[in-house]
Parts: sequence; C-alpha cells; structure tokens
Amino acid sequence: MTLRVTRQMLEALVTGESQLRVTRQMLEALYYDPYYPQTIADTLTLNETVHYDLWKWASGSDSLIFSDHAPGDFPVSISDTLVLSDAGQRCQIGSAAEDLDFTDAASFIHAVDDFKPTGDYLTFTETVVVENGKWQYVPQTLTFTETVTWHGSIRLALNHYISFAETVSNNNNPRQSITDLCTFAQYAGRPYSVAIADSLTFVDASVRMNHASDSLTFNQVVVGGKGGDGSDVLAFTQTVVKQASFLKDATTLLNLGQSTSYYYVTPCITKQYHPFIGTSDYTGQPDAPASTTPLKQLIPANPRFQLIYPAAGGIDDYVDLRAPELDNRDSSAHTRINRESRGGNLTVFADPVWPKINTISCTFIGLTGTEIALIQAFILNHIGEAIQVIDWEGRAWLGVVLKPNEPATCDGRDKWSIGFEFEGTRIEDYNPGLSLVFSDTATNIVLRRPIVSDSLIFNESANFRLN
Amino acid sequence: MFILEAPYPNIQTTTLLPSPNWGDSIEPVAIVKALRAMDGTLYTYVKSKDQRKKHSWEFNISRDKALELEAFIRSYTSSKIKIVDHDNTIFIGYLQTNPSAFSGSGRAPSVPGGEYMSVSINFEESE
Repeated sequence: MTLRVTRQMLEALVTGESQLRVTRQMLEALYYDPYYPQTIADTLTLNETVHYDLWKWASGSDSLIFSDHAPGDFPVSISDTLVLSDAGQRCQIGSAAEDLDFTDAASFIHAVDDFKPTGDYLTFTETVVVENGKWQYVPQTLTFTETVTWHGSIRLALNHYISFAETVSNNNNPRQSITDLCTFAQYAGRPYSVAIADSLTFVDASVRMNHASDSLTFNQVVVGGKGGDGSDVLAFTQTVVKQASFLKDATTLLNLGQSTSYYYVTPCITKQYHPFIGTSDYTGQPDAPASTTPLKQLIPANPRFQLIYPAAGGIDDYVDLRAPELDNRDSSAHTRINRESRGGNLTVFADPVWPKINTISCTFIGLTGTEIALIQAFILNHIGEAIQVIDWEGRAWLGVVLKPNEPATCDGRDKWSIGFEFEGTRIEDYNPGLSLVFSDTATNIVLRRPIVSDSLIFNESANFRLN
Repeated sequence: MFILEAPYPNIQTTTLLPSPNWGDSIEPVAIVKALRAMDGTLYTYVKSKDQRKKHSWEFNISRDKALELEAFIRSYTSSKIKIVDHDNTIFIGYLQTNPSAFSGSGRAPSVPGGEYMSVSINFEESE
C-alpha cells in the first residue's frame, strides 16, 4: 500500500533557551490504491470504405510508409523495420503468431469489361548506388524462423510454407490460366569476374528416430480437358556468353572402376592350380588367366618325348625318346617396353598381341647310340623347320629347335646324353595323337507328298588355335 | 603366405604362393655418381628414383602352382600388381622377371602335378 502525505500540522513551543520544542503534530494521510495497467495496446488503424455505387472508379488504399533519409556522405545506414512481436506466457496452450495479411476483395462486378484486379504484393526493393565504390551488396531476405523449445516428450513440428494456390472459378471466359512461379533471376552486368548462382537447397537433419526427406515434386493433373497436356520439366541450362574468343575445353573425367577379388584359405591353397579370379568393370583390363588348369595333370601313360615332322598333318619323320631329366626349364618370355623416365617413374607397357615366347630346355641321359643318331639326324634334316614336340606330360608344342649343335656326350658303354632346346607355342585345344575328325551327315527325308527332298550337308568346323 | 594380386588397383585375380625361400633380397635402385673437380671438390649426382626398391624372391612350388603362376605372369606382364609378402608388407609395382623360368626341382608324387618346381620373381616397386 502506498501512503501519500497530503497535510501536516505542527504546534511548537518556544523555551527560554531559544530552543524549539514540538508539542503536537498531526498528519493527514490519504490512502492510495495501487493501479496495475491491464491492457496496453497501440493501434494504428487505416480503414477506408469505398462504396461502389457512388463512383465507378473508386479506390481505397492503406499505406504504411517508412521513409528515412540520411544525408551523410560517409557510412550511412537506412533501415525500415516492421516488427510484429507477440508473446504468450504461462499458458498451458501457448500461441505465438505473427501475421502479415494481405486481404483484398473486389465485388460487385457485373459489367462486361469491368476489371478490378486484386493482388497481394510483398515487395522488397533496395537500390544502392555508389558512384565511386568498390563493392555493392544489395540483399533481399525473406526469412521464416521459428524456434520451439519444449522440455517434455511432446511431438513438435516446425513448418515453413511458401504456397502458391490459385483458384479460378465461375468465370465466363473459357480461357483460364493459373500460373505459379518461383523464379530465381540474377543479372550481373560487369563484363568480367562476375558470378551468378541460383541455388535450390534441401537440407534436412534428423536425430533419433526421425525421418528426413527432401521432395521435389512435379504433379500436373489434367481432368476433363480437351486436348490438354501435362508435362514435367526439370531443366538445367547454363549459358556462357563471351565478348572475346577463348578456347575452352569442357572435359569430364569420371574414371570409376570396381573390382572384386577373393580367395578361400584351404590347406592346399598354395599347391593346387587355383587362381582366384574376381570381377572388374574397369576398362582396359587385361584378360584374366584361365580358371582351369592349362593342362590336365596326370601321369602320362607313355612318358616319352616325341619329335614329329611336319608340325601339322601327316607324320613324315618321327623320333621317340625317353623322358628328360628333372633339370628341365620352362621359360616364358614376354615382349614389353620397360622404361624409366628422367624423373624416375617406371613405365611398363605391353600390347596383348605382342608375342610371348616359350622355351623348353631339357637334358636326356641314358640314350643309346642309335637314339642319339636318330635325334641328331632328325634335327639336321629339319633344321629351321617347324616340328611338333609332345613332351613327357603329354603337351603338344609347335616350334623349332634352337640349338641343333647341342653336343652329345658318351657317358658310358652305349650310354649317351644330349641337351635339347626348343622354342614354340603350346597347342592347347587338342590332345596329342588325335587326328582331325570330319563328320558328314546325309539326310534323306521322303514325305508322303510327291515332293522328294534330298539333302547332303557337309558341315565341318576345325578349330586349330595356336597360342 | 605370399599373395600376388593384379591388376592394381582394380584387382581381378589373386594368386597365392607359399612363403619364399631364404635368400630374398631388397635392393634400392637409387644411383649416385660422384665426380671430383680439379680443386678437389666432390660433386655427387643422384638419381633417387623415388626411393624405389627391387625385390627378389625364390619359391619352391608344385607343378600346378607353377602353371598358375606362369598364367598369372603371362596375363599381367605389363600390369601393375600388388604383392603382400610373407611379412604382410604390401608392395605395388611391376614384375621384372623376363623371361620367367620354371625349373623342375624334383619328383614329388604327393603334390599336385607330381613335381616340385623352383622359380625366381624379380619385382620393382613403382610407388
């Protein structure tokens, strides 16, 4: 309670010692009731009503103009602010809303060619003119920002909507048009070093069992139309206009390759023939080796070493020896380019069609003098000519003898040894000793009808691949 | 275990070999050329070659595995390959053995192919 002193009366006595002594005092106080403002409101109401009956071209307008002018020469600041601020507190059901409503209504249109447009416009227009500046920045911002903080397990929702919704109905004009436009248009007029960018960005972040999704949906429906059409167009168009002629190459390097390789660890994994061949979609990849062994390994039924002339066709000359010693050597030489740059980089290249040379080097011991004579005669008779070799594993080779002058050594009584070196390619597709088989089929089909058809079909196919 | 994979980096074939024999070697390929001027100053001209190294391994493998290795070398003689050696060290480079020679070491009826073969691999790092 507030006390307010309104009147005070004092009675004083004067003593002989010139001292003042108050004997009686009365105060009158008025009680002052507290006053709490219940409602504070500022209202700026612009309300015009125009009656259409009075004047055909009537108009009504509300204007709320913020106009500021700062005549300073150096850093100036001009701002217009329209703030709508509401606060709801201590309510179980709170509500805070800001509305900037544009509502226009035009009615009583009953005359042909009468046209009263209704429109809502929210226009941001800034113009900055700097006569001698280096940098201009004109921003226009339409921002929707809501923040809700709630300590409790209540579902929250924050929504921003930019909606374009038009409805045209009950119009006698048969040509109706509804258009929604969301246009990003920039123009930078400087002749160089400009950047223009339009961005339509969807960014969602979801935490703990929520769902984040971005949708760009084009949906047109034509119902009951007469030759109507619905189309969705998502067009990306870039245009570069230059005043000068520059040679620019636009290249896109997207060199992606995927490959998969695997292997199983088994006790005999390092003994058996088992290349683990995966998959790869990389272009230019060389051919993988065969997944099956190049030769069916077995103990040959006739472990001999045979030299046959000619290399293909009927046998004119033939030498049969025992299997060579275990110091045989199979060499595989590949033609390739092996270079090192001045900077130290190692470059290796080989064309797949370049030859790959196989060489067999082996030694025979325990041959008789007759066998030595036979093999030397065979080599000399067909020196430089292609022969066929069937080795002790049953593999057939096609090639030439490299060293016809290999010496034969007499190691004991009718016991000779000789070396042999041969270069050739292996014949993979046919086992040795098999001749080419041609199979002919004659088919004679007689039908009941008086047409007799005789067919004599010869169909041969011989694959003879040299590797 | 000794693993060869090719072509690098898009691996499509893996070949496994047993660990190599003792005697494997590592050899830097860098070169230093020393020249001394008339006044006694020593000048060295160095080819560091990116600190690359050459490796040499020798294997005793079965006849079947020799055929597999020969097919691997034939296919990827000019391709960059990846090697994981017996110490789990990874090398990227090229096979330098040319020709690759497979020698019959001895009979071994219990192994695939019935023989053991010996082969040497020379390899040079490229990165």
